[in-house]
Amino acid sequence: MKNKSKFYLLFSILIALLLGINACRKDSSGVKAEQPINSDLLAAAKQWRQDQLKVVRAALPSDLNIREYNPMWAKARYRNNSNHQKVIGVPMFFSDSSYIEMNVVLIEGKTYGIIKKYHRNDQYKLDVKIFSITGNIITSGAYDSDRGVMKQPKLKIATLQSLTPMNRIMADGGGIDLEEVTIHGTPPPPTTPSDPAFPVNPIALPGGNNGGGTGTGNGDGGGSGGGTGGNTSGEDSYEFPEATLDKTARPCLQSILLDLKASANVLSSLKKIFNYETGMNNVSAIFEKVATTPGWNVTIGEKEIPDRTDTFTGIVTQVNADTYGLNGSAHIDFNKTLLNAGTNLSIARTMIHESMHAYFIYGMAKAHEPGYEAFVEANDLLYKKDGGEVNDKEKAQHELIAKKYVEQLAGMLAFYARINNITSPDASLTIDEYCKDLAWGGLMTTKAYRSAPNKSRIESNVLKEAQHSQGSTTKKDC
Amino acid sequence: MRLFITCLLISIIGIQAQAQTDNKELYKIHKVLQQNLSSERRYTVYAKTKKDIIKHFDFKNPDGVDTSASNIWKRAEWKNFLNSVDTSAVANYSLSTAGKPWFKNRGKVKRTLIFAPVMLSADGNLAVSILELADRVGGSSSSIVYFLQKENGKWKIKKDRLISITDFS
Repeated sequence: MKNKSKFYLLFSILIALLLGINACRKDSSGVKAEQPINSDLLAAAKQWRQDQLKVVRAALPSDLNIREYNPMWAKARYRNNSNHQKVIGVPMFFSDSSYIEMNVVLIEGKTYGIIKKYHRNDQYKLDVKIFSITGNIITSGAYDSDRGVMKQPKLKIATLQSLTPMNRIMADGGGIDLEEVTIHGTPPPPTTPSDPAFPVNPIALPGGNNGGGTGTGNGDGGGSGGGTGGNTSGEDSYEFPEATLDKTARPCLQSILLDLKASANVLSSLKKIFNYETGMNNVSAIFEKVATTPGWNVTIGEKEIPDRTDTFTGIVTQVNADTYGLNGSAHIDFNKTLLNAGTNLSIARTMIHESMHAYFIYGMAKAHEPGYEAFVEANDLLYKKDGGEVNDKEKAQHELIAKKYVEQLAGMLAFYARINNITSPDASLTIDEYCKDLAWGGLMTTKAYRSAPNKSRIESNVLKEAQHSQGSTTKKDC
Repeated sequence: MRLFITCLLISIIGIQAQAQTDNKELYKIHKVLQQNLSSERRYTVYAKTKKDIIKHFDFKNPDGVDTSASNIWKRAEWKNFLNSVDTSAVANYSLSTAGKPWFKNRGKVKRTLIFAPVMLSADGNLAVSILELADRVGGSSSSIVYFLQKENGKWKIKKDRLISITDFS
C-alpha cells in the first residue's frame, strides 16, 4: 500500500512536470526560442564585419578616429526569420540614447548583413540606419508607422537598384517591409552587465513597443533589438527636394548629382554609426545638408564662362565653375568647357568642391542664428579672433577646405567612384589615392597644399581628368 | 565777350574743382577698402579700375542667400541709390593723381585686388564698391560688394557681401 502511494505520488509529480514543461513551451511560442550557437553563421558574421570595416576604412579618412565597435560575440543570439532562415544578432553598442545591433543571415551561401542603429533624437523619432553586405553599403530610413514601412530617400532608389541584391530587396517598392527590421515584443526589464540577458535596447520610445522580442523577416536577428513606435516618420529629413538641376543643364549632371547624394547619404550615415558624434566637420554631411536642407535652395546649372586672363601677367586660365548667392538661393554654374571636356570623376570632384562653397555661403549667412554654433566652431578659419568674418572669404574657404576637409572630400569622391565602377587609371595608385590627388583640385594656392606630397603628380592627374586626356579615368557621360 | 570768357573760366574752374573733389572722395574710398583688406593679407592692387567686375552684382536684386529684411540694401535710401545706378554710364578711371599711383605694390604678392569704378550717390554720402580678389596664377577668385557711408566726413564700411566665387582649373 505504501509502495502504491509512493507510485501515485511520483506519477503525479511526473505529470505535473510534463504539464509544466508543456506550459513553458506554450509561453515561449510567441517569442521564438533562441537556438544553439551556429558556428558557420558566427564565422560568416565575423567575416562580414571584417569586410564592412575594410569598406569603412577605405571610404573614411584615417584622421576621423573611426570608432570600431566591438561586437559582443558572446551575447550573440540565433533566431529564425520569417523565411525560416537562421539569423545571428550581435549587440555592438548601447547607451541611453542609442542601441546598435548587427544581424547576419546566410542565403544560398551568400552572406547578407545589416547593422541597425536605433537612435532616439530630440524629437523622439525612431531613426534606423541600415548597412549591408559586401562593398556597397546600404541605406538609412525613418519608420513610417502609418504604412509600416521604412521610408527611404526617394532619389536614392534608382542608384541603389544598381547595387547589391540586398540593396534591391530593400529598395523595392520605395520602402522596406518593416517586418524585416522591426522587433516585436514588450519592453524588457532593465539589465545589468551581470544579467544573462544583457544588454537590451535601453530606448523607450513614446507609445511604442520596445525591446527584446523576436525578430521576423529577412536579415533580422531579433534578440535584443529596438522599438517600433508611435512616432511619426522623418519624411522631411529623407526627401531630396532642394538641390535641383537648372532646366537647361545637361542630364549627365543629374546622374552625377544623384550618385553624389546617395554617396553622401550612405557615408554620413556610416560616419554616424562608426564615429558616433562627428559634428559638422564632415564632407558627406555637408553635401547632404546642401542637397536636402529645406530653405537651402541650391541650383546647379551650366553656362559659358570665358577663360580668365590675369590682369598683370596675361596668363589665361580655364574656369571650372562659379558659385554665388542670388535672391535667396545658391547657384553653382559649371563652365560648359569643363562639362564638354571633363570626365565624370572631374565633374563630381568639382560638384563636391562647389557644394562646399554653397554650404559656407549659407552657413555664414545664418551663423548668427541659434543652432549654428557648431558651424562657427568647425569652420573657425572663416572668422577673425574677434568673431567677425574674415575679409577674403573665398581665400578663407579654400584654406579651410584644404586644411580640414580635403581627406574627406577624397573619401566621398572615392565612394562615388566605387559605386560607378571607376577604377584608378594609374596602376601604382589605388582609387583612394587617385581621388586624394583630385581632391586637391582648386586648392593648389593654399598654404596646406605646400606640404602635400607628389605635387606634380597631383597637378597632372587633376588636369588629365579635367581634359579627359590619356591616362585619365574612362567614364565620361557629359 | 569779357563776361563770356569770365563765365567760361569760372565754369572750367568749377568743373575741375568738382572733379578734384570727386577724385579725392574716390581716393578716400579706395584707401579705406584697401587698408581694410590689407589688415589681413597683402594684395597687389591693379592701377586702373575694371568695369566688367560690376557684372557680378545685380543692383536691382542685391540679395544673396540671405534675404532678411535687416539687410542694409533694403533701407529706403540705399534702395533709391542702387535703383538710380546706371551701370552703362560708369567709366573706368586710373587709381592715381597727377600720375602718382595711390597704391604702391612692393614685392611679389600672389593675391591681386582689382577695383571696379566706385559709384557714389547723388548727395555724395553713400557709395558702392565692387572689387575682385584673385590668385595671380591658377587658383580662384571672388567678387565682393561693399556698402560705404560717409559719417562725419569719413567713409565707413557699413556692410560687405561675397557675390561669387570662381574656381579655375
